[in-house]
Amino acid sequence: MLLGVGVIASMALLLLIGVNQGGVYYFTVSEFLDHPSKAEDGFRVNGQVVPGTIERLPSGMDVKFVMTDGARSIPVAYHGIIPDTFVDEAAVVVEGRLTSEGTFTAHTLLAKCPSKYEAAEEAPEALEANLVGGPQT
Amino acid sequence: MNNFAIILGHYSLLFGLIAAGWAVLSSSLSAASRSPGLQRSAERAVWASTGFVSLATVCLVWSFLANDFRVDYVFHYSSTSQALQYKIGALWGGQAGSLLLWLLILSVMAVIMVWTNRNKNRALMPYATAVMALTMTFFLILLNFIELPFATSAMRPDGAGLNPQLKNYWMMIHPPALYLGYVGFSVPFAFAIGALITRRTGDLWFRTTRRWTLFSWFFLGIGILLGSYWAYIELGWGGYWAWDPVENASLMPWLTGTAFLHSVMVQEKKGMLKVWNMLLIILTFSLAIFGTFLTRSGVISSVHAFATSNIGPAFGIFLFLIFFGALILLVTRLDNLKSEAHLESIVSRESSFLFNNLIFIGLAATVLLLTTFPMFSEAVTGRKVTMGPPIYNLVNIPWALALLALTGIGPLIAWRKASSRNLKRNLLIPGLLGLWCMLAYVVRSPQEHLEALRKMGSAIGSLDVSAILDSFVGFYPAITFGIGAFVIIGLGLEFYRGMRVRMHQQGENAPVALGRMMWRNKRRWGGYVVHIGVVLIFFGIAASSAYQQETVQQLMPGQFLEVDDYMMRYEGFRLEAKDDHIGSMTTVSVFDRHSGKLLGRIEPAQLIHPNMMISEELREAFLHAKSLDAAGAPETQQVIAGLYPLIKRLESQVRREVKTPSTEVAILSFHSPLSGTRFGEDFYVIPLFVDTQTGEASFRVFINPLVNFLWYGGLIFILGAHLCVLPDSRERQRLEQALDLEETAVA
Repeated sequence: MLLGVGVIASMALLLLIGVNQGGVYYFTVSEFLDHPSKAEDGFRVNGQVVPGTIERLPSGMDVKFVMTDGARSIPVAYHGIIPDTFVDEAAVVVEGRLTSEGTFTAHTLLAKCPSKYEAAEEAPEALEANLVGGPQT
Repeated sequence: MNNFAIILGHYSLLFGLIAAGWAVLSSSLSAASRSPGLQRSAERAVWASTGFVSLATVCLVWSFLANDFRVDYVFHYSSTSQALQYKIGALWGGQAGSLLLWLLILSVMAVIMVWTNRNKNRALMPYATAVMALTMTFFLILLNFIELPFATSAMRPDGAGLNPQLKNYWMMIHPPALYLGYVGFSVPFAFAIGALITRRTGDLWFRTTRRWTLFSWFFLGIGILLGSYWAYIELGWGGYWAWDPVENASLMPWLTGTAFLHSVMVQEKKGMLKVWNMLLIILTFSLAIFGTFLTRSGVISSVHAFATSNIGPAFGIFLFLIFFGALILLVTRLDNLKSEAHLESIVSRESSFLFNNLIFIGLAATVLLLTTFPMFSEAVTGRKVTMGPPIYNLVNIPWALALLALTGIGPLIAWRKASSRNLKRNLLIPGLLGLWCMLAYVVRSPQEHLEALRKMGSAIGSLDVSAILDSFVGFYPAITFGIGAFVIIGLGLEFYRGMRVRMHQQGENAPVALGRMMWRNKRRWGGYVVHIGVVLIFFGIAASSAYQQETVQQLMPGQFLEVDDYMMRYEGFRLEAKDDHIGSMTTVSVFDRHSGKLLGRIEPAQLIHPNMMISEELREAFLHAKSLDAAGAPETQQVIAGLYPLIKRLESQVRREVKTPSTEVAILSFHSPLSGTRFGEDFYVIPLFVDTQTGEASFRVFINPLVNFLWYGGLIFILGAHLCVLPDSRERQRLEQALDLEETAVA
């Protein structure tokens, strides 16, 4: 019994230490822009890739794009492996900090649901609309 | 095209719901009135409902095969160019189809349960049937009213197609395996509820369902492994586990399920831990539902919670009912769950099982807490705070290592109270050898460990608790290998001793003695085999996370890069147009850096799937290139190269990307034990970018030592688990005796 309590207690202790040192704030773009200390590291910002803003550099490991939460948007520069799920309108989560030029420099980029896939049910219809309207020049 | 399949599918689901609803009602009435006739009717209703669900599934598959893009679901997950196996696999590519597959598996299991128990367990069956039918009803409500697989729109010429990342052999079998695991726990759970209500809380409920439990636990384990294998070979970040919510969702019920598998042995042998076992199966089934909920609802932001939909609240309510309903029932039955024995000594197999249970539950609780942390923090502070992999590792690794030690201690220690003779005989030699292995490992790479020691010293000096914990990380590989060696040697000795005894007594030769010994007690030896598989998995995890090497370099064809003790030459590239993609297929040769010997040649590829719905021009150009490539025409390369600027031009016109990238990593694995220190290692190449004009390419290369031990361990795990479920005549006799006793007691 005593040992059982010991096991649980030490687990809880480890958990406490872990939670204290490693939680990362999870913001929307607007929340992040309103946050006072945004130049520090340790922010996770989520939003959507603005279509047409993806700029892939030849290294294959650098990309620039604009991320939005519908209300406000922010330019992002990322260096690292670009997941295949990273496409227009993908929901993305970036981790990093804001540089003085106003660009969010990310060291982590998670992307989910390419528009083809599930979340954005409207996306394929949006594509169709594009088709019907024809390419704009 | 006529509407037959759509209408048939739609109404099948409706009739399935009615039948399942009747099964719930009728079996509950039967339980209340003790009327066997009503129970028979309920069982027939389960059959009927399963028939309708199967019919609905067939209709949906048919719509996929017939390219019926009026069906929204088909439109979203299939396209005319999609290969046959992915048209079928697209069934579980999205929300509604996944739920349908879940339901189909559940229904088939309910039918098997009803069929195998048609003359047995008559007292428990009404309740078990009601629980199963209730779960079916829930999923049928979802599919009839919230997430409709047969919703239709106007006909469309082509579908959007399945996400290219899901077009992978392993991804096709991973979800069904996982679902078999999730769903299978419903049967032991249903029997547990029956046992609680009827107060027949002996060990019959879990002995009847032992095979179900093993089956589900097995498939859940395999599902998790397949998922990580898929992530490893497909997602292209060189790893296999990221503590992603969806991964965690599948891990949690597996952890509690494993605890359950172990602790029922204590109840079987000693009549202890009865409340605990009930609690574990309730937890496991609830976590299985919760796992489905997490995966399918997108409550917690996850890289692959591929779903944001409106089934969340319904799931929440169902989960709440299941979990708290069962818990309340359990509390009212505590009198019937008194333990028949007490823990006699802390040094005994019982207590090692108890520890194992505590750790499993602790791990599951930790994972649950960290996974749901964003939800709670948002509710409490209004801010979402997420927990990254370092925290999971910090908390879980020490306990996972303790568990690893228990996989050796548990089987070697005696029941009740271990004598010092037992300890000496079984644990001393393996313990010492394990320790020796650990020290030998430390001495073999002294710098690495001196560095870790120095770190630890300065952390202790500055009294920084988290730094002290971090400094342990440097010793994890040594500890893992030491403990692993202890477990393998200890279990190996058990095998050896058992075999020797038989050889002496029966005069058999070694392989026959070993085989017969294992055959005579499949549960025991099968369990040990599983433990050895687990040790190998730990080896794989420890080495590949501690010693992974990586480099990123830009190369022209003919140039080399060097990493670890390898040399890689980028030979060149070829453009291809196939299926629904175009891409650069590169060839790289891998050499031993010292001897210059060629080790192998692999072909990583950087593909793109052009979005052909954007423009007719693109579609025609692509189909032209594809036919040229298939015919092997000399101008193929040029024509495909011309597609890239076309896509770029279209992109600037429609102001969005008209391609989906798809990176195909290539892996050179060293499976032969003759490859020396490279045994189990992977040379893992990700092509990041290929210039289609000059051929200049940048590669990211990982060296993952021992990573294949994960898959080897998985195979051994499969072997051991199979041994455990094989029919066992002694086991069956015992169960039948117990059942007879129960029947006479009922009569």
